[in-house]
Amino acid sequence: MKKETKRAIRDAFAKLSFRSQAQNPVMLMVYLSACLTTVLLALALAGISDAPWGYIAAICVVLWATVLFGNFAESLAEGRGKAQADALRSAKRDVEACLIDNAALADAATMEDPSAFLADRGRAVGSATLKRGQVYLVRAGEQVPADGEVIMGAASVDESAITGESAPVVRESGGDRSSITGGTTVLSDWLVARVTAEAGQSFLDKMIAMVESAARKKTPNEQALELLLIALTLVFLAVSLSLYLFGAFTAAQHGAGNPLGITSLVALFVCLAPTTIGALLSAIGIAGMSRLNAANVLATSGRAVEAAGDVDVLLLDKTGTITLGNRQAAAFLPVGGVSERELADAAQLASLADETPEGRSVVVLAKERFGIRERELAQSGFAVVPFTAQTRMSGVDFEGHEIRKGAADAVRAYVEARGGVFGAEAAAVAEEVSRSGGTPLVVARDARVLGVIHLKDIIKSGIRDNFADLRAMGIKTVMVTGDNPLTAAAIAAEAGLDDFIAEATPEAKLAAIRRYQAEGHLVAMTGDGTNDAPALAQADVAVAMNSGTQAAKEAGNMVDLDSSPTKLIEIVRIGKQLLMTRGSLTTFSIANDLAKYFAVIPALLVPLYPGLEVLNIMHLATPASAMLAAIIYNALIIVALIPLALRGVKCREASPHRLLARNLAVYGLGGVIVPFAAIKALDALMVFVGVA
Amino acid sequence: MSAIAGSEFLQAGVLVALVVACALPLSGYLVDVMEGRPLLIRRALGPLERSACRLVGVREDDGMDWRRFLASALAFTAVSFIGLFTLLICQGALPWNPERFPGLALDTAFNMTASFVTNTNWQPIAGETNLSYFSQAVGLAVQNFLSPAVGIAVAFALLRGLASSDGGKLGNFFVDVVRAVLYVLLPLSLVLALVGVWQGSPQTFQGYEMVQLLEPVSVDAEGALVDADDPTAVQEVTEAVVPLGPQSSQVAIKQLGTNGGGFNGANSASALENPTPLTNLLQCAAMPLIPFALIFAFGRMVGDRRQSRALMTVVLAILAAGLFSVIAAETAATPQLSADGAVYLGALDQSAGNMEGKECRIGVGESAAWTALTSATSNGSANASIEAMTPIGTLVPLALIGLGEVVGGGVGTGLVGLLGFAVLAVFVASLMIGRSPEYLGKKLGPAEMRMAVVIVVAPALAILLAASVLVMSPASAAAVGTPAPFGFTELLYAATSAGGNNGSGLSGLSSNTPLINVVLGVEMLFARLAPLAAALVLAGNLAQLKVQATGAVGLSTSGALFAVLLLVIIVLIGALSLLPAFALGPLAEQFMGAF
Repeated sequence: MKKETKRAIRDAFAKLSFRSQAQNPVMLMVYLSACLTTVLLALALAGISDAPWGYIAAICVVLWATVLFGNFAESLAEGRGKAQADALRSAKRDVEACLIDNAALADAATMEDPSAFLADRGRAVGSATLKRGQVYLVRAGEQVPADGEVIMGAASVDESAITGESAPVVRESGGDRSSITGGTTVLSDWLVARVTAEAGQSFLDKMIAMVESAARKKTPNEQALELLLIALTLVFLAVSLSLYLFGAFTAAQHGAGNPLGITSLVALFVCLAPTTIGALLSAIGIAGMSRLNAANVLATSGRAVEAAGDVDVLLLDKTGTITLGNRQAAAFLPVGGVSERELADAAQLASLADETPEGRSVVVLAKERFGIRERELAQSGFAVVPFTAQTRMSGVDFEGHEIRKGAADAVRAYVEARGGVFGAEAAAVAEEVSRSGGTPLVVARDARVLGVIHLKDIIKSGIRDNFADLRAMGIKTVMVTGDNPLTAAAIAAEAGLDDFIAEATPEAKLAAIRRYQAEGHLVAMTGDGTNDAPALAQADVAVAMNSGTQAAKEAGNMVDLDSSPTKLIEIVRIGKQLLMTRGSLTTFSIANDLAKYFAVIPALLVPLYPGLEVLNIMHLATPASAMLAAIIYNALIIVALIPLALRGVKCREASPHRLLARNLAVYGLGGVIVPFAAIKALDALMVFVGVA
Repeated sequence: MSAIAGSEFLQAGVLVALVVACALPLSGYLVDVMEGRPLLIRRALGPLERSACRLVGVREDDGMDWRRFLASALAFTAVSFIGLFTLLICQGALPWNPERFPGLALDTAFNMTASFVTNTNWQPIAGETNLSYFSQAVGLAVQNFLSPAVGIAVAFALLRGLASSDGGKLGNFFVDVVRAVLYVLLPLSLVLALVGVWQGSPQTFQGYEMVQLLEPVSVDAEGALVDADDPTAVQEVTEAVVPLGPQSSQVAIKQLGTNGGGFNGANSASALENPTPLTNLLQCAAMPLIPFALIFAFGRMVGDRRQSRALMTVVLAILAAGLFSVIAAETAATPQLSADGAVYLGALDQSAGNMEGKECRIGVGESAAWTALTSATSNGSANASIEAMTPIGTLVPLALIGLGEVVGGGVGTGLVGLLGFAVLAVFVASLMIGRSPEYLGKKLGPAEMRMAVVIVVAPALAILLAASVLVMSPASAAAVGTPAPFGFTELLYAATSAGGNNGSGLSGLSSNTPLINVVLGVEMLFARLAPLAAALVLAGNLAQLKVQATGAVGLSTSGALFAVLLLVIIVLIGALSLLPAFALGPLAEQFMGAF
């Protein structure tokens, strides 16, 4: 037997206390029923009974089994989280931290090798004693002592303890990769960081609490469902109690004793009460969270997971989500009588020093098209002009010529400043490239425009199908990009998105979210930078990248440990699946009652009115076997559905209408039919082994 | 199905189609007057409306949140209760009492008051032999107008909650009641009463009249009626008392307001209340008219009439099943009837059916149709004796009432019950498509679910608990007219009728006992007020919610699939809560062959 299962069985018994049962009202009633039948059994053994003791004993055992099966389901679901939590705990050691005071920090800024200097001046303390705002140094081979914001240095960090991903990531001061997590390990170089979370409130602590579901609160949907289940339970309690009295009245009218025993009515009540969903309810919720954790996403609450299922607008960043991170040169478009080869030659020269993927692709394209060999930059006479935010161009100065490439408006300013003319043809070609979804890079030599390089966004393969699936589910996809509207429109059309926000600033993003929300939509987005924080805080489902800043992580309600931009789609799916599992099993549970009635009512009432035997459409052998078959089915179906509860029902990308039709057919109609077959089979089995 | 049943069913189908056709335009009118839109009738009766509002000290534009609305509705009901109760126990000292009827016993008065205030009209006593004209006209008739008006007010509060996001305002209770009475109930019953008078129904404040019998009858020593020449006869009877009074107006509102309490004990089986085929047809049609119109008003209020169509489909499907079953059961020549010698099964397509307890003028088909309609709509009036019906003929009204007020239901309360189930269906269906539940763009959280659940289970719980209390008492065994299983059915029917605020009953039960009066009285109040309060809380919550754009992701609540789901949920919850009880009553009788 697997370790997980063993632990779950042990926990199932541990949960037999009244206090843990009281968490779940439906199962509490089953628990109390089991207690009651135990008392009845004791009385029967002492000679006071309204039914044979063997029958009471059988009912009693089955009821306790029902309670245990419910406990087992919950324990099994929790078990996954516990195993994960154990692994995380092992990463959470108390290590020695090198505490830096402010004076040393100020001095270090001017040092040639700040790390060696700080290591000298630092004071060794236990990581557990670190306070928020204190500064520490961590060097290659050391474990990061606490969550922090990098304020100096850059290093590669192994975050596999948290993300499970073995490839190291870069953490550096400033920008969007400045947050580090306690428990990860620095592989090379060094970092100085300011503590952002003390021991006990760290990211790792939160993660452990989350996966252990210690901090699990019932979500609104769970509460609402529980209300429905409680109401049904109350009705069935009334049905069982009243049936006893109705039976007594009828029997008295016939001048006979009441054939309805308390044991049978307790069994009737448990049969009818929505025990299947009641027993599996918390397991479904916990398993949903586990599935999210398994996808390397941490949610701050179960509510966020469910909200993910409701999202109908997804804001997706273009870069990394829809397109590959880099653009590639696709064509050289010369203007003003320049030959294509001349343009390619100049473009290659301008890009030789450009190590960006776009720059490399220009060099490669020129080589492929015209066999222009890469030239050594070391050759004399080359002066590299790097890209700056002011000029927004890059290039080389070469044998007295200046070759530049850059955005159309930047090159126009450059050319015109030199007395050249930025011709209408060049403008038209650049415009044309934009319109087709590309990015135009204009190349100029001295004051003359040679032509345009067409940089093309490469749309991820398969992403179009992804969006089609989302559309089938009724979810609107919106691309967010810094590109101009023309380019954005072309890419959005090519990738199959519903809408786009071009030239997006953080403010524009926030405004867009507000606008969608005002229209009544629920919006999900991912973000990593500090400037995404307001939008993340506003979005209904906000996934922060683990690689992102602390501010982004705090603003979001989920953290994606993989920092994968497409994760949002998976999160939506998991959220939907969680709700669907709950709804489908509720339907199944209630639909089951019909068959149970046809087993139980004739069994109970035939002694009063033999004519009611016509209701025994399953032809169950005896009243006792019918009763037992129904209640054993009731217990076993919990076990049978545990895998489904943990795995979740299949979530298809289909329209709501088709999903409903399918789930109603499978779980509604199936819920009506399955118990008829199963109860009949159990009854036949009892006849076969001779207990009935 | 026999040809007779077929043609009767067809006839009932035409009747229902006519009602639906009338309910459609009426729904537009309802929305217009309740929302205070300018109409000709409002210009004509406006001064009345304004002075009525001034009388209670309210302004038309003074919107109430759910707390004030509920407090107003409860206070209004309490005042009605105290007023009617006092009137009934002091009847002997009040005017318009030509027959000198004394005040009612306390328990009877309590039951009658609860019954009429809650739009149930269960009557432990026959009106014509116990109630003065004053009690009938000022007591019961006034409640017959006010209790459906309260229902309409609550239904519109719920609709406003669903339709608007007006910061939680649900309209003004008192203005709603005034408008419902003035523009809806009074004009409609005036028309129906005039037709009744034209057809021969009495409308007078004169005393009862003594008339000569055309054919004298006799009574035997036990007081039972026998033929004049019967050897056991001890006394010949040559005259009869004809109860008069303001009957036609009472009948009109009893049908239109889903009240059901007739002027006479025989209700609409009496030739005075229901003199002709035309009155029978119109009274049948009047029962579901306003409940159906309110279902259509729902679609108009939320701006999507397909929503109403889905709900109406569910209602009509259940009603059709009920009509069909009861008509088929009553028109069939059963072996039991044959054993009694009532029919000869050898004759091909013999047509008598079960004539026991039916008025000859009305016949089996129309009696059966009436029975289905009166139980579906929580009306409770009768033109035949349900007591004397076949087991299935008794089961159908039991089931239609026991489902809760959903198949039309009471005026206002029927829509509330239906929407309660709709919320439940939306919840289950939404989860099944992986979404948090929302109805018409409004999110349904735990608070809304709690209220919907109260609306849905309150009737079933009330019925089961009240029936339990009744069967526990040794006095009940004495009250039932027949041994089990039918004796049990009589008690169950009483509890069901009270729990569904229906008011029909099985005449074999001697229900005017302190125990039954008190139990049913409490039950009627609970079954009326719990869903009413829940509906107002629900409305208040919904009114505060912003409408969400669901579009393509959301659940469609206007399609056939949703209608099927809603139908299944209504039937399943009804069946699960009441099937065991039915098994001991009508089902046992059906399968035992006992009749």
